[in-house]
Amino acid sequence: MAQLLANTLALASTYILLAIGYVVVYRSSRVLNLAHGELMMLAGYAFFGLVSATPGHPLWAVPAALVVAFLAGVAVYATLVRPMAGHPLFSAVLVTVSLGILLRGLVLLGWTADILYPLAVTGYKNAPWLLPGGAVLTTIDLLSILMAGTMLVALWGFFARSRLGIQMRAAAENPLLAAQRGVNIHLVFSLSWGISTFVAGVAAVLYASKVRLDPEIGVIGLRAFPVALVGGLDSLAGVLPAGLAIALLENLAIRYVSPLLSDVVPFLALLVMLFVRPWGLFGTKEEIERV
Amino acid sequence: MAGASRVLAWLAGAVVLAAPWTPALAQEPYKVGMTAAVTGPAAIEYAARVETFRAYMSKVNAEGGINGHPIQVIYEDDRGEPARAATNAKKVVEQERVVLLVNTSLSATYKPVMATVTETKTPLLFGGGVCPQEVFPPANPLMFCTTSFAAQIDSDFAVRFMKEASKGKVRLGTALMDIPVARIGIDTAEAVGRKIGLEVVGRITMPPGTADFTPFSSKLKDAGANWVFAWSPWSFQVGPYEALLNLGWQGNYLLYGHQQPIDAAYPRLNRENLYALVGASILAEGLPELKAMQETAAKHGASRLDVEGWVAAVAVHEALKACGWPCSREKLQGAMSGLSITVKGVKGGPIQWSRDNHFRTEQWYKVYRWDSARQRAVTAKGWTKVDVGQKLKELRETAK
Repeated sequence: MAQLLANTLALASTYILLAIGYVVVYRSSRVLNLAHGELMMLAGYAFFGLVSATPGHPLWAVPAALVVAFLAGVAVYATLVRPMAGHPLFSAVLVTVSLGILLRGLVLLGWTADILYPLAVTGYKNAPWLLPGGAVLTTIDLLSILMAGTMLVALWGFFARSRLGIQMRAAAENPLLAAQRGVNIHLVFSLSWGISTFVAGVAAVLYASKVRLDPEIGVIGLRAFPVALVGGLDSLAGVLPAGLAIALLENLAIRYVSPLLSDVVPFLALLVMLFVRPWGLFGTKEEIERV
Repeated sequence: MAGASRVLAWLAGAVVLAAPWTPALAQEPYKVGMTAAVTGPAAIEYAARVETFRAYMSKVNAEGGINGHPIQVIYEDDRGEPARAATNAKKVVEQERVVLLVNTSLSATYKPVMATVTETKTPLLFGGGVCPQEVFPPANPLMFCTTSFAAQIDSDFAVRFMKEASKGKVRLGTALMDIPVARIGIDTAEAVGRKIGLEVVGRITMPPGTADFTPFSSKLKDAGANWVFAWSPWSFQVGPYEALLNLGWQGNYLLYGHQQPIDAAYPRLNRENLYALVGASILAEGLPELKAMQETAAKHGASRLDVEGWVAAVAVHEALKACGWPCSREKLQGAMSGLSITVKGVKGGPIQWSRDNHFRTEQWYKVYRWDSARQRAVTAKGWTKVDVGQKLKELRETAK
């Protein structure tokens, strides 16, 4: 039982880190970023490239990879999403789909389809830790849980307290009015894309260090998508319970029902939520009309 | 004008002088088609095979081809998708009129490719993808396989090795990705395991989209498995093992050692409880024959050596040599039915095809483990021969 809970926390932390990205972008620009998983993958490859380029200094590679991830998000907004302003939101979503396919192709060209292990390059080990109750979690699991919590709290503080955060909320609420009040909405939007890919970068560094890095890890982004929807696409607070609930359901299915169900559990949870409460646990009711 | 005439005269002279030294380029080529998972999720395993295959063919052509006839390979990427593989097969067989088609892709692509070759009576070689039922006795006359791994026979050998290598009772756990061929392998391992007195304590079947292997591996650990056998695509063999290590599991793990990834995994993991069953040697053993192959592959443009790709290329080369010139599909099929392919240093014995067995009459296995003190792979069980016909009969009995 203790191990089941530990596994749930570890899986939920990955889902939460990824779902944060969906929510931050949606909150500000109303775009569903369907290339989020691939942007996460790109950050993973940036991390691997930096780790390989600076052997012996792995701790530099982590912040550097996160900066690359942030800049990638800003660049995606500036080059692909901003030109779509004035067009239906659906067009911007399609642009992100194309971006995802393009990124996968580019990664394949640059690094081939080989499985890579960034942690092995750093020389660090992912040591297991025995927890009360006999459960085991590794260093990276613990870091992942810590980072998911930190990101949630930090972003909550940023949106609630900081001037820029409040401007971002205002721009999300009514971009025209915000612009008339002097808010630089393009700066605000690009920043939100940067934050989204930054957090995805954190997920990428941790996941690639724990499991592996290959062009297919972007699929995990798709699995985290139901977490964002179940929590409420415009609600950061909803990500936490949704991530925990879906990870718990997945672990319960693996242990007590059928391991094969683990693939569909997030989407079953999403379907149930869409029937019962289409705007998600903590989402805004009117938001669903926009989706 | 005079200058231009002089240049033309030089060129004409050069062509005349070069002609006797480049017969292969002037001759009509042997045309071979290949449909392969060069991109897509399965490319992790197949891209390197194609790269090595291409390098070997480049070597053959650089050496003058076969009696002056170069081998022209038409490569088509199928991403491991059945629909693309079907289109590729039709294109190379019907438009390019190849004498042989090679499939280096996922088993999901086999059926449509088989349909095309059956319709057009074109020989088909499975080179690097799992060997399908059609190549085992009684074999389909058109279909052949060089790939070292075969779900049922591998699994039978694996569980027998576990029993042999263990002093105490084997409590067997199994791990697989949810694909048909892996299910066949693991079903066999469990059935044979029970028959020879192993206790089967648990099985984890992982869906293709699995993000985290830990919840699956926890189940095996809690079931008390002291040996785990995995037979699947590489990520789904090594993923559960690493998750078990993270959980502090102390048992032994046996997987099918695909040469490229196991070569990379052994030094990275540096663990002595990881055993790899192989049908072809791995580079980590440091055999001189493999080093020579690696150098040749590198010289002809391959960034890495994949033994399965090399063996498939040798088979194509040998088959075309046996076919002679001119080589028709029918003649090639006849030549392949009695072919024996030896790749020194790579396999325990030759790949010998017979009229009704296009897998091979003898399968050879070796088991490696990692020696952390010596930092190299060592032999846990040397090359062992399995009589394929006999083993298949036994397995049919066990299944009953």
